[in-house]
Amino acid sequence: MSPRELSQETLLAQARILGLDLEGLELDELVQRARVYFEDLDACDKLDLESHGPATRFSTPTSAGESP
Amino acid sequence: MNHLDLVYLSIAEAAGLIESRQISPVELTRAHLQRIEATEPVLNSFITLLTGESLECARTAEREIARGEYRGPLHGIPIGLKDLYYTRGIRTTMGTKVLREFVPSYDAAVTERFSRAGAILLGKLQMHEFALGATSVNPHDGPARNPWNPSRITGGSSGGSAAAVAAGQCMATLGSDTGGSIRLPAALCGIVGLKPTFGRISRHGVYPLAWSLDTVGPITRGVRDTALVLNALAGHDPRDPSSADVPVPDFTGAMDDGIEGLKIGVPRDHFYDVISPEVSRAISSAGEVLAGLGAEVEPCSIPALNHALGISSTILFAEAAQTLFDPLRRRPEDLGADVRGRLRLGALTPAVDYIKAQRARSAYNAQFDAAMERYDLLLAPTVPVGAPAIDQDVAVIGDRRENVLTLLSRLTRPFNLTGQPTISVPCGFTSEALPIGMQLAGRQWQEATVLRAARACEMAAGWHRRRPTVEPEG
Repeated sequence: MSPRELSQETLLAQARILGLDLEGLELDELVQRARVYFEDLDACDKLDLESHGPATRFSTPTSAGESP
Repeated sequence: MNHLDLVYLSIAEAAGLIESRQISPVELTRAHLQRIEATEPVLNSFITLLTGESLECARTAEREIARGEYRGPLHGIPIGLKDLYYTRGIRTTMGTKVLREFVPSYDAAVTERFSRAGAILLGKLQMHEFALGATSVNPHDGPARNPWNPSRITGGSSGGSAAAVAAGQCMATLGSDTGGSIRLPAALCGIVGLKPTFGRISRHGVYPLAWSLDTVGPITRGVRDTALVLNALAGHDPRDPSSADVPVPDFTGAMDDGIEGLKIGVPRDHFYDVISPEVSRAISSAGEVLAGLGAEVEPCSIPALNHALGISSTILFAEAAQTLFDPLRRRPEDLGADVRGRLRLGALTPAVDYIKAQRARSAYNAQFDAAMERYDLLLAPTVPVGAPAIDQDVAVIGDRRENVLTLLSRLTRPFNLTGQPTISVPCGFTSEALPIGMQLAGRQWQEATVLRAARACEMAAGWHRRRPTVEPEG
């Protein structure tokens, strides 16, 4: 598997798909932040993702109303 | 009673005096307006102040109560709303230049419920732009300032909401919490902030940030007052698809029953990796207080916590970028630089990574579900440091230099992923006389247990009795 390629060029290309104008920005800083951001996310591979689907509920109503 | 005594009454105390007609809603509202006039030049808590409207509401409340039509403990109580709650006919800015003149045509569900309870709306409160940030240093409205030291931030995003309560400008306010935006400013301003269970309070008419994380909740000076506000606001609302149709207990009911036998876990992962020693000591002391009251307090491990920030950043930024994609694309120059940067990062997140983060969230939540089988509550610090200075970028902790923006929300975000109810209550002060907060996180829908433990701790330690002296910077 190839590693992620995070460079000014890749971010600019991606931004063009979205219609976002990144010209004239401090792209170096955005690239650095994106690297940290994706490193943190990729570290989640340690969490046994194969056993879990995406979260679709964000609390569990079945336990509602129990007295403390 | 002078105006300072009036504004620092608890809601429970004020309600008793109003019901027995020893004070009137007009007198109480005037006292708050006087307090606002004296402190607002220092604090900058409000975006819109409703002087005339609030006095008119107070007169109506006074007449109703005189006729014997007392509605309950919020009747005649002065409150404020973060400026992302829709208020019909009243400007609602979201703290941004982009929506500076937006006037909603309807009320948020919580605005309706406050109104039905007879609360008096004093105004709309300062916030981090679009609630996407933890400082409330707002490029369009100026910084919200901390009542304990105006050169320090309030924290955010509900910074004005927290400062207003701490300074006696309002008796209760509403914040919104996507990554800590209720608990974090509550901690830095020395008061109580509750993020209820996801789905407990309707989000209808609340300007969204991140749909799978956003939660509405109260900010007050005491735990009993938090329960009183939650009583008024909780409940199913079919207009909000995320609102849960679950029973709503009286949250004040078992509040003073003590915590004998409650099992409290203190997660050692993540929370103590980057933290000032005095905050760490305050949490240890709080654990001792809880144990002294009869709870079983023990360290525990939830290894997934080490991935909390990676998961939550991806979900929060991607969802926020989708919500705010139009201003990001059409008016980027009108957004603050920090918000624009976060939204750009979120917009550049591929869909597969967003879904991966939601899968990781499932795995993360499974570990929390297992922990909450063993424990009634988890105890953790709210913010690793006291309130930083308004222009401070870096915090030094031991030999580490930490980015303030990253540091502020690192301990609150873990509980947004799970959706479990979590409160921040005061648990001490730093050597610079800045407040320290601690979090108690409970099982889903068990706000009553969270409030009971927080109340026990509050009464035993007494930190909530301290008040800031609001003085000009310098």
